[in-house]
Amino acid sequence: MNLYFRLFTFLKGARGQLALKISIGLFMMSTYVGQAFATAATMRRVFGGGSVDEIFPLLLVIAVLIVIRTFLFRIDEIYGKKIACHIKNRLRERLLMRLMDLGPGYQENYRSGNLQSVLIDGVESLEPFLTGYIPQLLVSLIGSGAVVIYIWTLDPIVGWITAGGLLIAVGAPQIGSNFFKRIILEYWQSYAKLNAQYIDGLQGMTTLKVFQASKIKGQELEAEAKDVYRRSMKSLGASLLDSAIVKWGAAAGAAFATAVGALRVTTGNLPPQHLFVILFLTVECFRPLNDLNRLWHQSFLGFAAARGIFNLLDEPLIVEERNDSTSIAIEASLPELTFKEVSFAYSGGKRPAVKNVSFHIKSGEKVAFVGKSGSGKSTIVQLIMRFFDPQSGSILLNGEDIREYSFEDLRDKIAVVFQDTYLFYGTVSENLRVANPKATQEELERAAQLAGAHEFIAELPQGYDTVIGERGIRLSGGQKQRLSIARAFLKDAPLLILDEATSNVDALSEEKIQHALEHLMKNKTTILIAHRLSTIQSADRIFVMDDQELKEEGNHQELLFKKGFYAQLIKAQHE
Amino acid sequence: MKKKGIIIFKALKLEGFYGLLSYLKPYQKGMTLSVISGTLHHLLAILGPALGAYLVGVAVGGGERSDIVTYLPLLGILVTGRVLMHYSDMWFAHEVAFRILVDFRVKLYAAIERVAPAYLLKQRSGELAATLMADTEVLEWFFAHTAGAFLVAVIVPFITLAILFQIHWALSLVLLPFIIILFSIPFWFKKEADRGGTETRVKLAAVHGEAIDGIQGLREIVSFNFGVGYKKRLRKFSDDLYESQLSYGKRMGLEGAFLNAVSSLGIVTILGFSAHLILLGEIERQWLPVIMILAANIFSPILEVTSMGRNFSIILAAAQRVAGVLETKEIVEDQGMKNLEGAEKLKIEFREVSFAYESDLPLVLNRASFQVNPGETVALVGESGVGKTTSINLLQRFWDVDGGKITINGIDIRDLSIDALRSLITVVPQDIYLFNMSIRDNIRLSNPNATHQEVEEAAKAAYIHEFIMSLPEGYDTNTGERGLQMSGGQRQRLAIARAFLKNSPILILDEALSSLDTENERLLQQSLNNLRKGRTTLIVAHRLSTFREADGLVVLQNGKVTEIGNHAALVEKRGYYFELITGQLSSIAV
Repeated sequence: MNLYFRLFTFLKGARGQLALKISIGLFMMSTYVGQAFATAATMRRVFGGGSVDEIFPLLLVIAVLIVIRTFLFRIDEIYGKKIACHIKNRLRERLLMRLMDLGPGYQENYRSGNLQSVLIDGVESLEPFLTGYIPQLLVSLIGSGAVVIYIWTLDPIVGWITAGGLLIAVGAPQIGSNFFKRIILEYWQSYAKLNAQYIDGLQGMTTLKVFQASKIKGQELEAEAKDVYRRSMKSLGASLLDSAIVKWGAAAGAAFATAVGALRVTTGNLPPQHLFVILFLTVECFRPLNDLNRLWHQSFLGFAAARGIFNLLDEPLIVEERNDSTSIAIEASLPELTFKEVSFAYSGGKRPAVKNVSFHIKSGEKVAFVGKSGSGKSTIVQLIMRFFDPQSGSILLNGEDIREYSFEDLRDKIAVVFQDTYLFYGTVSENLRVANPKATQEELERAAQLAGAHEFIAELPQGYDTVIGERGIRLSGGQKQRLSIARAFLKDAPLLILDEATSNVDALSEEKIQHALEHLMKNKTTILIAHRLSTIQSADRIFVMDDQELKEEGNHQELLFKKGFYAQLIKAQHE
Repeated sequence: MKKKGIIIFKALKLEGFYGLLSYLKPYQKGMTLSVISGTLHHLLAILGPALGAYLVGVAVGGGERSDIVTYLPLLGILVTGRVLMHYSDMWFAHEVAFRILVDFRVKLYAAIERVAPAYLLKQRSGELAATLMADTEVLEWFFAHTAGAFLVAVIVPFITLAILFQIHWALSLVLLPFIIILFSIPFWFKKEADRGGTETRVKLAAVHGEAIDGIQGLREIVSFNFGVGYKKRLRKFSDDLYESQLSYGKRMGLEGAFLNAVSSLGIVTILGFSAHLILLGEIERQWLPVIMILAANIFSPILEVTSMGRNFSIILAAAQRVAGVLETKEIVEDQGMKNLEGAEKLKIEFREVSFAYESDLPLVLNRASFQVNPGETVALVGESGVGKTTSINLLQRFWDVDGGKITINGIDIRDLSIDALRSLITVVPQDIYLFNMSIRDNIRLSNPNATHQEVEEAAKAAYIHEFIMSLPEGYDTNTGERGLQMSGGQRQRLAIARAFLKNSPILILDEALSSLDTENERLLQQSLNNLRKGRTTLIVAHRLSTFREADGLVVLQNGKVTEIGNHAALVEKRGYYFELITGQLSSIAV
């Protein structure tokens, strides 16, 4: 579907409101038209040499129309805000929910910066088109159209002139739109790029200064800024043509309609009283067009953003939930997990991550995966969580393919402590409740105690009600990790995955965390993705990954004895 | 004159603008041309219809065909001239605007350069940079589309009033109060507008923050099945925004309604009044259409500006932030003249150094003394927040000491020029910043003249060459490109390559907190050992292995140096250091 028309689909659910806004717009326009008629009538009487008594009622009518319009104006403005907010909120929500469906796998391929600009700036930039241009276009077409037709019935020639001006003013931007759109977008983009480069420079300023490179970088950026300036001025000349044509159409249409009307009065083709009407009506006819032109220009940024938005909406799902997935009860007390000849590559097969991996983890067992970075350990977690599905082979949880489970059931059974934890903007309690929205305050505190987090939470300014996250109080890596562990306690899922859970913390917090983790692992099937010896040694079994393959398995002693990859890794660590 | 100007702005509670106007000086020519074309544009926009109206008057008054035809070419000229003036108004306005954008970017860059990193650290993150750039855009909008338009809005009604005065003096007198009231309307609502504007922006930022939370916390949301809960949160924030937008809209609507009502009432009044004058025989009747059209158009430039008035608070806030940065004083002054060129064996000494980040904050360093002998490696040890990083910041003169001094080979570093000082020192930071350019250029940052071969050698010495070659585009890979995911260890080794290329006699190393996987760890250690050779090295250390290898340890506690010695000696002593590392030993195996 054409991008332009597809944008209209975003109006779904707000069509009634939009229709109301258009009606208000038309209503307002008709008060203007009414005023034009009354003014024309007044004038006719003045020219006819009427008395003040004859004119006064007409002035009263105009005053009433003004009062009505004042009210309409207010309603229109409020309504505009209402619709804009409503549409943007819905669209933002829809996009975010789409993102949730795509899952974390989607982010492997897209930088979060891009997503942010689609979801935030992109949604904002659609406002002028959706809630400004579209209603205004309809008001112009219906309102101005009706006025033109009326003028045409008064005098066809004047009617044609007005229609011609209108056609130029509305049509020219549409015809030249691809050309102008390209030019305007080009210079917006080059400015955006320049902006990004400046931000890059400013953010890296310390590095630049340390290497005495800040002056050179500054000169480079300045030269680039000047270059962009020159190029912008060049393309500006062309893009200004657009609004010049619109202005000309409107101005010439109104002026010549009046003048030709006057001409036709002198030749007796038009009764003089109609000329007054024409004089004021042509003004009203072109009144909505100024706004229309402004909104059209503001819409361009939205057209560019629309592409990113549609891409997100059209992105095929990475993993699909089966429609007929029924909840499968886990009978065994603790789950067991099997990988059967699993192979997977990122980026649609371009970047191999695990090759032909098979293993079986018994109920209640504690296993560790070790290997260099890039050997495929973390991919195993992503596959178990179904952020991705393997290209071949299968993964069984309690003997059942994980694709048979609903997402909710599967993820309910697994708790993961990641290497880096994301904390949401909100209180400590809210952040913990992410794992279990129904948890009571006592349960929260108990989990925090078990995770060794209660102490530092209690020391925060408002305790559990302290606002944390990007825009709140920042916590250290160790503190964040303990909150993450507290979440895992709260979730209390039978399968626990620790994905390099202690790697972003300083040595002092590590001890506390290690302690908490040991507590957490009790009575669970546990998968450890690890690189620290202390965590690995206590595992029942160790799987050694290298070059995306599973190379060795066994416990610490057995593997050392084997003098293979594992023994080498250990040796490297001791060097 | 200047004082008078300030008083006017103060009276209007817009004194913030006065400061802004001084920035317009370099653009006087462009601004003047823009204002002239803008004025002509609006005048012609009035004169065209006025001529049309005059012709109507002539025709209805029984004029001849020829009376009208002769005016048609003039009408065409007026209409076309108006469009041309519009074009030139926009052209010059943008010309000024784009130049202002260039200049302000350059100015901001220079200002940040002057005060970094102190300023950046205080502001917490690079978000500051993004805000400043966005603010610059807002200023552009003010300079290019508000300041000039404001002048036009004053000039054009004046001229129009003068024309009306020619027709009949009383007409302009009747219209004047309406013009004044119109100009004053935004001020009636200013307080409410400022409050509402701020509130809406805060609420909008909250919704955006929530969306960012959703993107960055996606993994958590999905793995905790928190989707529904997240949606609820998003709704709550969105509803809040909705409420505040609505009340903002109500205020805007009211203001707009007043503007509309006052201007319309002005037109009715003039209609009634001039009709009265005509009936009295004071004015000839064919002027009536002209009067009506002039009256209808006199308000349009004013309405254009008053609608912009709604954004004044945004502009002022942006101006304040930008001015705040532009006017920040540098923290250290570069007045030293000496340099240590050619010196290879360098000794660093901290003598009784005291320092606090702000005068009312507690001391971070309290009479701390220690030294690093030429070629030695000294590690700073202590809990986080104890002053280790501060020490290395002071050595680089990001700040100056409050008491005591830091010397290199006996020379106070404040007596060295900053350039000379920084050329002596190389830093391998904890978290290296990679610029959005090729890996080669990122490494070459420390030495722009390095040949490709030298870059490669440095990369080899940092054990990162192999990794770079494994990338499809090798050294030409852009580090900002999507899909390029480098681990902490790899990034640090790039920093080490930079350090090799700079090849300076003093090395500062801020050890990473996160431990790396064994392979990376080994490569990193080896490359660091290569780098340290022959250099005077100061390390902010977190790892036992580093403690063991260092020639000396400086143990910091509450800003004071409490123990000095090597690992073995300090272990023997069984003091604070011993306590510190035994706490770690149980979990550290490296």
